[in-house]
Amino acid sequence: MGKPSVTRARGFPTTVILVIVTLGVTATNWLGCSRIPILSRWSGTPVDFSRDIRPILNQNCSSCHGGVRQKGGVSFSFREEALGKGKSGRPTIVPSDPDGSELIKRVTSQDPETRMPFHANPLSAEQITLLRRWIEQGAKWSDYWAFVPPRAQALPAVKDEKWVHDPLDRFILARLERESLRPSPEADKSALLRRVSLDLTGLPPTAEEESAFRADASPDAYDKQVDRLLASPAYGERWASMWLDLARYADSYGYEADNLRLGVWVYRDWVVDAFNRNLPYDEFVTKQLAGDLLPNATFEDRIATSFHRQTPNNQEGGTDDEEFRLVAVMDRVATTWSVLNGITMNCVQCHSHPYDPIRHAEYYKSLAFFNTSDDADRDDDFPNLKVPKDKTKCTDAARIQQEIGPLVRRLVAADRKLVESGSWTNAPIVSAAADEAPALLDALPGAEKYLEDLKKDKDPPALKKEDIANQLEAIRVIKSRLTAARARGGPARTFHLRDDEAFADATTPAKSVYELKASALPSITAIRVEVPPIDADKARHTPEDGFIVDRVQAFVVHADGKKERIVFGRFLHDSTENLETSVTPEKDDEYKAARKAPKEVEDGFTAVPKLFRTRWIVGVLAEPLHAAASDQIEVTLKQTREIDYKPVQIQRARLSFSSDPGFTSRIQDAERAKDIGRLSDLEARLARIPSVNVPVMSEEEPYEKRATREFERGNFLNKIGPDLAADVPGIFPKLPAGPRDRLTLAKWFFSPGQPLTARVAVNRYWEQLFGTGLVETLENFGSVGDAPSHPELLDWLALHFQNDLHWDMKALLRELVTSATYRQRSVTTPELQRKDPRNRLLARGPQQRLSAEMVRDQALLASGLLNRTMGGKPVMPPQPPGIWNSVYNRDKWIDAKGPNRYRRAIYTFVKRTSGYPSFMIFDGSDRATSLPRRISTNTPLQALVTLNDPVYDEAAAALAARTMKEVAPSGDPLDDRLRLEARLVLSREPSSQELGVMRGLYQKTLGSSPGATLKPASFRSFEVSVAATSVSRKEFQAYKTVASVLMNLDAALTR
Amino acid sequence: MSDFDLSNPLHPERQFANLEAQTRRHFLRSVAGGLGTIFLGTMAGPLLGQAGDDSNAYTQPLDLTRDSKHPLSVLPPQFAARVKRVIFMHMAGAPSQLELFEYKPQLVRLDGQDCPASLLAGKRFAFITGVPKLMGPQYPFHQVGDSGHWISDRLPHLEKHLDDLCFIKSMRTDQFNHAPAQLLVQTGNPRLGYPSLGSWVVYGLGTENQNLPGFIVLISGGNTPDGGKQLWGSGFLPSVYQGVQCRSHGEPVLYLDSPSDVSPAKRRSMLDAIDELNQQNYNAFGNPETVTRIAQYEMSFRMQMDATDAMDIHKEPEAVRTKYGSKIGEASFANNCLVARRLAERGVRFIQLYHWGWDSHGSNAGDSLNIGFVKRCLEVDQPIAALLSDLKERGMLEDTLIVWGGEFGRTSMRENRSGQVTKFTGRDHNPGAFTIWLTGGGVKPGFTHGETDDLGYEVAKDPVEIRDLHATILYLLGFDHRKLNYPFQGLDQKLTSVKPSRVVAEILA
Repeated sequence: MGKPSVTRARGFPTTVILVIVTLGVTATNWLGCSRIPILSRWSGTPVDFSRDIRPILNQNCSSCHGGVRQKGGVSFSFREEALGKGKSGRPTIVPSDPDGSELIKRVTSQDPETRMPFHANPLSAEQITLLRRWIEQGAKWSDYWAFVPPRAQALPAVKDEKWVHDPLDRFILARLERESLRPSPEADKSALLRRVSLDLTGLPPTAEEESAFRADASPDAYDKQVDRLLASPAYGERWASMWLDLARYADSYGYEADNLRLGVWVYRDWVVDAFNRNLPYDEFVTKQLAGDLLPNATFEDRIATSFHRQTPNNQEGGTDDEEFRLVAVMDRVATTWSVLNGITMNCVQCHSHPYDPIRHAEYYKSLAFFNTSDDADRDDDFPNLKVPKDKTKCTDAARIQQEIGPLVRRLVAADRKLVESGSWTNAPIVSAAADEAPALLDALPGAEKYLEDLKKDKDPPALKKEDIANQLEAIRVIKSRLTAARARGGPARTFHLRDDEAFADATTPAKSVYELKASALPSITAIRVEVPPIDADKARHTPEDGFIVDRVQAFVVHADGKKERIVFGRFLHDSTENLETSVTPEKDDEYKAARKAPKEVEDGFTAVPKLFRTRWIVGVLAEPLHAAASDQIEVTLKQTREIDYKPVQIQRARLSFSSDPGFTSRIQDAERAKDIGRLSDLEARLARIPSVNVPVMSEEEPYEKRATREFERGNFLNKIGPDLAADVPGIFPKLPAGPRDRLTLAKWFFSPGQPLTARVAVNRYWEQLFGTGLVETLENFGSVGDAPSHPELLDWLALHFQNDLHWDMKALLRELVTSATYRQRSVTTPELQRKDPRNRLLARGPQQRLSAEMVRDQALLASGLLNRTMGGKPVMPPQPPGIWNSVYNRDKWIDAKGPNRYRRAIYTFVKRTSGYPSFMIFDGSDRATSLPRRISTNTPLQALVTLNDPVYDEAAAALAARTMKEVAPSGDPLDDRLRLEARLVLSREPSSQELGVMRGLYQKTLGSSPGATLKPASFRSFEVSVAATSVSRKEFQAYKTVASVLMNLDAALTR
Repeated sequence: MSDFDLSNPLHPERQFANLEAQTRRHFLRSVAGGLGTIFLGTMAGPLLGQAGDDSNAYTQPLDLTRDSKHPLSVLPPQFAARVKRVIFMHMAGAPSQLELFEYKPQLVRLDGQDCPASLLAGKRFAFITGVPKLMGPQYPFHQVGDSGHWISDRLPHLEKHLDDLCFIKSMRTDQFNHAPAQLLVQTGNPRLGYPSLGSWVVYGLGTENQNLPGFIVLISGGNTPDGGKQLWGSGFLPSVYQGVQCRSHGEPVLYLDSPSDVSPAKRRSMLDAIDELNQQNYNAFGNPETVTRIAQYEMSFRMQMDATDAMDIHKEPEAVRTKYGSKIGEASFANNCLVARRLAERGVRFIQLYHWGWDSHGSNAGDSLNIGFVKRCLEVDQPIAALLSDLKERGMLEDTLIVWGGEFGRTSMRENRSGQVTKFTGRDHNPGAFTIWLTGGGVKPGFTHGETDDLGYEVAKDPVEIRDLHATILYLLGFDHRKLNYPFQGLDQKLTSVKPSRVVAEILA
């Protein structure tokens, strides 16, 4: 318990606080009038923990006595904790004995210094009674409803059977009848078609579609429209918009430079296509979480995993890649649980969950599923799939990459097996040093060549100048260091030797050649260099800095000091990545040449960016070496590169030799040679196809998996406890047997007993169509989220979606939009407004503001500008100049001039640090993190967008031109043209009153002097087309003015 | 399962968006008329407790429910506020405190010597490797004014205001890369996705002038700050609270200007038509959102006029422009300071100025203490001084809080990127200590809080975390930082995060 308050003594205006409290009570009572009448929570017996008690605890107690803090040693997170004793030694809750329970004493105390909630408003008498009764009844604990699987629900009986269209209507109607409310009649056809078209495809109906529907008197006219819309390719684009918010899809990396992720649109197209193919929800999600782990994973399955590679990548110089790798991993944990189960797992990163029964260690067990993927916040965004820029090459590129993976894995597995089972003799290192001069000498020609290349570059002069200046400085540094190194004469750094190994004394220069010497064996077929972490056990979960060795060489040093090169026939690599880097067509050719005339072939190994485990390379000698007893072997390792502007160091090294003939035969093995040849051939073919990179998930090989431990208070540098196996939190059903990987986890989410996956999914669809979820807090189904407005309906829909519809998303949507509930008129009445202002009970049809995407797409469709091309690279419709100017970044936004100016919103470039302004103003997501729900706001800035943004100005002009062209100027076309404008924007005939206002505006505009010259070049075409209809420019201006007004109406901005 | 309850106070987000009911605070305001004035007083709020102990002070919960038609309407603060508005000058890239305000004689003496291993052990740097050399100040320091504060010769204009400034020399952070560190300073969290300080303030207080955005951002120095537009994003708060970037080039607010063929008269007739048609729509459907829409369009019209006027520095007398060193047509810090004053006069709640280019590593001329840093100082010195004296003359300094600082400090060592001596002089990032200053209402003038060690390398006394600074700024605006909440993902989220934070009472006047 806390200390007494000292604050009033400091002069808090006591009078003010009293005023607030007094008025507060009054105002709270006022609020009551806008509530929906709810069933009394207090009248029934027995007391239900979840319904009655948990909310009291969460709201008043858990912030001090819960997962985060356990003040006075008291916690209400789990029953056993609540029944325990606090620091006072008194039991908090004694079942059946309210008077013996400290809880009751504290909440009823008259002493402000002991009364709970501490220094806050006391609990109401009603709440205290509930707590007492609950304890009397045995203080039964029960799981929160959301953690209990959905229960089968009987369809409620209703009075007005005629109104019911779908089973779901019964749940809505039963509740309305309970509240003595009547549903609204069906909306008129135009309004209904507009609503369902925008909901299902993100586009309003065309005038033709609207007419056709109105003319269709058949009983299934509406169902036919729904089928048409669900089959439209626009369906996938609209629903992908929703999913991409959840997937935090963006065309850039995020953070400082925010460079562009140029190939990531391939994933966006996968999502659009998956919706259009109507991939069942379980498959849709499983492929995205674990497509790479599916048996016989296809290329497309692997592209789907880009879902979890949409995490930002921090390319700022001098960052710790491990820190941001983990930021991405934690983002994946949070996103997975939030998207699939509405669980706020990120709360548990630093401590146990404040409200929900999830323990701190359980977070890290969840993290373990995601902690063993290959990506590591590397600047190259590894691992990537290459997707050709030329679509016709896609099949070929896919086939090549599908072959490379297994081939590399097979080769490395065999090589590793040989290295691990081969006999090795430890070679005690007798001297070790690092020399700078040879590495600098090696680097100089490359640096100078790069300067020459820069001079030939076609960059703008200012950028070119900057690049050249930087490179000149780099060359200057190399040369000055070379002079210094030569003057010094000796090695730059020494190592100390311990247990036959070499350990670095201090950092070596960025460019160095390490020289390790050991006594030779009489016969040597292979030389192994190992780089272990200093603390190998800790590095498994908390890695050390990585390294890059460009080249490994070896020499025989005879007793007389003479040195002889050892020629390696091949190197064996410890990992798929090192093998893949080393096998290139050029290198293959070099090896072939080297076999004829002994010659150096550069090969090396790396641990990028971090060293989690011992890395090694084995050089197999072209021919076995026979050495004299006095001979020494010198191995040199060249390092010239940096990771994140920091030289990377080898801190520890050891050598071993083998005389095993198995190595020699391995590199001469025809099968292996064939495989390597095949690999280099595939790599060569792939390299020839101009491609973009799609970041994807891939799993570490079993021998390289990182270990996961609990982070102390979320600090990644400080891990505690034992290694944790991947698992789901204990409140959920158990994970099935099998590998504890992402695939098992993905499948688990769709297992029959899973309480939340189906509920969260149906709730999301409900929210998209009705504006508010059955559970309003889409992002939180936990115990401080909202209770469902229609709990039985939520369960019924969840089970129906899961068991009857087998996760068929289109089928679910079809049922929702054909329901009587959905089809109601959206007119509200003062009575409804008073009883249910937010339409939670659905006594009327939904009415929602258009999403940012719909606002744009509607204007383009109505005006006839919309370019329906699907997919491909993101596009740059006009945005004001100077919006894109991230630091250290030369990307430019160039307004599209051609048809790409008018693509659907979903294809607009998404740059994380600089969202497309008009979307951001209409509550779009910046895609920095997964956004579970957009909250609509109203600001004058939105009006400025649709009034002034060139996109809407052009659309208004095009709409004017279109109507002038489509309605012939014979007779008096004015009303017909205005009517057409209205129909195209509002999807209905204007009323005569509306037409009157439009006519008035038209005439007023016509009468006033014509505006300034139309500026943007894109308008010219409309002027020309208008001119062809031989109407005056003044008329065109007036029609345009009306068009712009229409696009700004509330009726146009809602559906 | 329990039935849902619309009155659940854990979810004002829902209520915010939709309830039309009056709130307690609206009620207060409406019954008391001019009551708002008493909220701007000199009485201390109740938060000045011990560091890190949440239990020894408390305030009543806040109700931030608003009428959805007026999401930016003014709400009174929780208790006596000391200032009405904030001008936050973020020097993006992190200016060197050791070349401006932190005079360390010991560092002068040790200039050029190898850095002792004890200062390097366990430290993570952005670029320093191996053993760097200590580096003394690159510019001469002298003492100024009644406060006797040390300052270098780089800020001769600001120097005249030194007795008005309140320094915190003991700021520290746990982020040593720009983007995360800037996010921490501006959003209280180094990761993406959290609401900015300005968003929280506008969410809590609303803004006085409904014809201008309540949270305005102005940028100079040629680049968006490293943290990007998320620095003024609204995170999980509704997007109406996001900062609006205004520009001294082109339209001052995006999409503010009507298309070239739309005259003001025509725009008026268009809005009249929109209004009339929306009224008809409201009559037909009765949706209150339609009423909101009508208000929204009216407001946009007023914003077109008022924002254009506010941003138009032509309207300032030439003498004033000269005082700021302002040149019309430039996206300069000088122009932004002048605009900031005009916005402050017009009741904008939170004005954020970013000036990029302070990342003095020494890796090239622009990023060096000898060249780039000198330019940056010249760009900000005169305008800040002019802004301070302008506000003072207008009597506005007393109810405005001005904050100046970067996202971390710079090392006492000369940067040796890749272990090499660079051509230019520079310092690496130092999260261990940095200096910021505040001035205006509620903070002690001519005061210094906190100390660093003899080398200016780490905080030696009275450390102040970013979240403490946030708690203090909110306090000056009349808020208990623990109560300015927004429920999201199961937590009552707040700017100062879950770690203990305190109001830095020592600096309060």
